[in-house]
Amino acid sequence: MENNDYLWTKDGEADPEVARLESLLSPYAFEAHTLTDARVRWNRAPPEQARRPARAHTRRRLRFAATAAVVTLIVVVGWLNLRLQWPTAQAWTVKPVSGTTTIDDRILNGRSLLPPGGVLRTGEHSSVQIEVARIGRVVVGQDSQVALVETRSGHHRLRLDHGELSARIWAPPATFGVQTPLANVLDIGCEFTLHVTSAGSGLLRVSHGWVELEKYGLQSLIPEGAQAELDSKSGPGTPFDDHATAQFRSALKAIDALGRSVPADDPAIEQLVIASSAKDAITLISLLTRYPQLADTPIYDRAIAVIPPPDGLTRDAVRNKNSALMDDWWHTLPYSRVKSWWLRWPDLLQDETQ
Amino acid sequence: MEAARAGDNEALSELYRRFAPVVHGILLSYVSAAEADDLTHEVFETVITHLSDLKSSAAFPGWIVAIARRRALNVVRRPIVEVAMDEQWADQRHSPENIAAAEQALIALSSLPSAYKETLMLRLVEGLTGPEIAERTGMSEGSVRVNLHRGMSHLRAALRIGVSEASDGK
Repeated sequence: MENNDYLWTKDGEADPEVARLESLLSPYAFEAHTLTDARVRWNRAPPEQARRPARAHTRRRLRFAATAAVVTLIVVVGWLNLRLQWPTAQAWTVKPVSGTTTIDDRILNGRSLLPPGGVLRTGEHSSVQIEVARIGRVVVGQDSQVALVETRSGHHRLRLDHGELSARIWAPPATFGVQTPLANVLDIGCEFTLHVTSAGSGLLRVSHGWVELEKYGLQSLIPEGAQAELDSKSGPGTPFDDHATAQFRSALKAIDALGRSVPADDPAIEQLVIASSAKDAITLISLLTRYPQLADTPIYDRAIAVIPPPDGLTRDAVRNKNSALMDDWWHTLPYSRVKSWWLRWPDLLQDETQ
Repeated sequence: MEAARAGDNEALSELYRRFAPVVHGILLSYVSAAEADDLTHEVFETVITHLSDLKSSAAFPGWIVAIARRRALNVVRRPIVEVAMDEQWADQRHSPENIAAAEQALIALSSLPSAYKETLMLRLVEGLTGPEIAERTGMSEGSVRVNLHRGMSHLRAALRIGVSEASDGK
């Protein structure tokens, strides 16, 4: 028999079958984990299985080695699995490093806990270290305000209202994220520093791995050795290399401020091209991806000069947003691929010894 | 809505927060979970690009649903059995048995007529209530109510008698 109220408004006694289906299907709902860009999955090719013929007299030794390997694997997988588990809504440990810090207006004296909903504030010359469940650490800098939004296995979210934090995370992509007034920052197995003002402007710098910047569904992937500005008016900026010149960054800021309406004859385009060098290839390709109309400007010519495009990529392909060709071009950039997060296992050992 | 059409970041964020589950649910009625995630962002890119072309704010819910549906249908159709979820997108807290049961339910849902499966996806997967579905898709509450109840009856039958028979028209 139908329970009309429950199916319609979720009020009243739950229909057992509807409730069962809700429980089964809710993990497939849209939420932050879905913001992981498809490009994160670039390098998820299965590992190659090397096949080498074993001689008969080595079979026993190989069998022993295989057994030992399986046992080791079980131990390691169990340990790694434990690292990734975290009870829903369990508070995180906070350790003062210097100065005065408060959680919900209570001054920290030694180790303390940051519960979901708790607001942590650091004062002048203060900093604290937060254990992010069991997957990494965040160091919050001076004059900052952060809040723990949500924490459970596979999903941990902080909010940085203003100030600065540095994060080092060991977990699958998008397990850890930071909300800012302007955009969401999703960790893709990496180390990064984020600075924001209360108005939402700021800067993201990635020192290892990759980070995704997201704002109403539009993403920027920022690789190791690159940065992106957050602008309170134009949103997350186009990524640029750590070594980009001030002139290049100034022109890029002007283009991002105009966004999709940037005209082909805007003077900032010429300024950007003149100031560009090979290291700026990531910005040139990103600009052509974000604003395809720039295919008709010298940015396209400069981009194909500094990094050869894949076969078939033309102005038309850029203009028509041919995502397959643009992805192929993006893949030729001289950055490490999005790392399989488990390959950063040395981080774990480093954590254990600290 | 007017602020979003004027390009206001906060308003666009709010629009995204409210309508992303709707777009995702519609897409999930036709494509795999991984494709739905990717296409959700593509749909919003289209929406944001053309938002200023929309003549009436009231038309927005129906407009965005139509874009999502069209985008899904433009994707190469797969046989129904391939609608099964990619395990990498499943919640780690769920057992293999639950994942298998969820896949079976999604396959059964995908075998229903479009109006029923879209509405039930929004209710059972995205967790929206009937009134929320009506508000965010532009459908009348009456239509949503009918789709939910008739769709649920069809879904119960499909789950009971097996997906293959259901997709063959019972």
